[in-house]
Amino acid sequence: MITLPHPPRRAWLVSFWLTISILLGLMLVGVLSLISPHWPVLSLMLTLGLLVPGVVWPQAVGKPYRAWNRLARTFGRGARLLLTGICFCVIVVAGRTGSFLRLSRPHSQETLWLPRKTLESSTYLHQHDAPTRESGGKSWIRNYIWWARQSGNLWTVSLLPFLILLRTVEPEVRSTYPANIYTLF
Amino acid sequence: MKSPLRNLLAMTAAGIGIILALPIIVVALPFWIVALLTSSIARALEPRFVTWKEIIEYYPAIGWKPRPNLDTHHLSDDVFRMTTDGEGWRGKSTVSESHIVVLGDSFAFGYGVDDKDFFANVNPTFRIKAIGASGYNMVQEFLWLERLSPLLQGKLVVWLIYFGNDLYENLVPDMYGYRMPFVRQLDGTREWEIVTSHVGPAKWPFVDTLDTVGVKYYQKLAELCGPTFLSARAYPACAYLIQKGRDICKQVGAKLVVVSIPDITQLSQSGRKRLASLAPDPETFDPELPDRKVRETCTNLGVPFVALKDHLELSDYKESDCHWNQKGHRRVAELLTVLYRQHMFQESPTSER
Repeated sequence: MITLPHPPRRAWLVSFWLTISILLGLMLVGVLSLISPHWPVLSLMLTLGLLVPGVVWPQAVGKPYRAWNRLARTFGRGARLLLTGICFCVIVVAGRTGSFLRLSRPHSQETLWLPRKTLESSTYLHQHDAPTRESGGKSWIRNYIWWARQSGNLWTVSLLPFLILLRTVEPEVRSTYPANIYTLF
Repeated sequence: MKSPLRNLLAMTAAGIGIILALPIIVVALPFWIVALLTSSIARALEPRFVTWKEIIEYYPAIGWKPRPNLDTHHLSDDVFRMTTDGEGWRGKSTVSESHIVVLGDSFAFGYGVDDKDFFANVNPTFRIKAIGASGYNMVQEFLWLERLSPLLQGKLVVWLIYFGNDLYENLVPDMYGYRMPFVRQLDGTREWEIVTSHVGPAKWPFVDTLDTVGVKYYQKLAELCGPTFLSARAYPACAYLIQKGRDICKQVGAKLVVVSIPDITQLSQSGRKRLASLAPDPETFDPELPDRKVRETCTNLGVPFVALKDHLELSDYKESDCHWNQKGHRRVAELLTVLYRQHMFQESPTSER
């Protein structure tokens, strides 16, 4: 979500340059209007001048586009590390109240066998003894909350803001070959 | 009691975590804004493009062909504009009025370039008709040659053979589930035959679902660069098809020239190294073998042969797609003009370069 597709198509290069030019222009206008009423006009002209190369020669924008993506990827890596670190801390704090698992050694003659009921066939891929339901790409938040309630892990909802943030700083993955060259039936 | 306490502790920790995450949100904001605006503007700028399924239709015995009268955009490494004539072929000319008829796969179809850059349209004074579709093997191309043969008298027929998949796919009944004609050897003989009986609109049931990014094709090309089981079958099958093509051209008074298209991996040191790493026996790996074998076949059959690897370079190919770019198409258009002059106006040796 923070990185741009690579390799870029022509429209993406043009669009990236338009976005950067417009944002820079707006910032310039804002800052310079504080100094003098004449400056914003000049900065507006500068912005228009800046727009031209990206629109006329999109290939020339390739380098700034790649540089921006590199920056976004580097930031993404750092952000993911920090966010997973926070998630880890939340889990550790929640874990202070104890575990559902028995972690101590058994007394002599004591069995560790536990009675279990048969799992539903739908849980075959996720054998955590909790019902699952089909999770679509967009409804994962709803499914996650539903799972947390059903499985008695409501505390995991507190991880949700970080999971959402993690998702937004994930790099965009694109295969070398476009997927629809020979689309299957 | 454990659960409410756990929820409370987790919520408190999460609250502190959110405060710690605030700087991330602030720094991420410009990246989100740029990504969001860029994608929104790009979507508005880019013409709507159709998928592969929308540009082809089922065609009996051959498997598929491009839809007729298309005027649309399609996506390869970038969006390109393409039009097809009433028969489904690209290029402004018709078969009857063309000087050259080019048979081939997606390279002949001009996959990935706009109409104006397509090799058949580059030189408006020289009429070239390309008969090709994405994913075609040589059997499909031969069947078109057979069907169009009444229109080919006095023309130069250029048959493009792409080493990336053509030689291998001559032997298999489907391409990613699309049924296509293939050749098989008759039991206990050296004879081959074309099989079309399985071709129909339904999906072929035995699809190799593991390969979706072309890795399989590089393995097959590597196998074709050495003395393997595949190469022992693929080259005789190719020779069978070229011979049949030559005979048809001879019958109708057309001149056949075979032109091999190297895969981009065959043109660079790093690409050849990659292919060698995929070869069953790197010791016997020879990247020149496909050209040598096809040249040998053509020489034996008296068919002129041109290896495009002697005329193209890396910069003629796209960076993230296996097809030619605009420059590559211009080069091919120039070469076709030269071939026409060589073979239609003067005697020429049976093998080029």
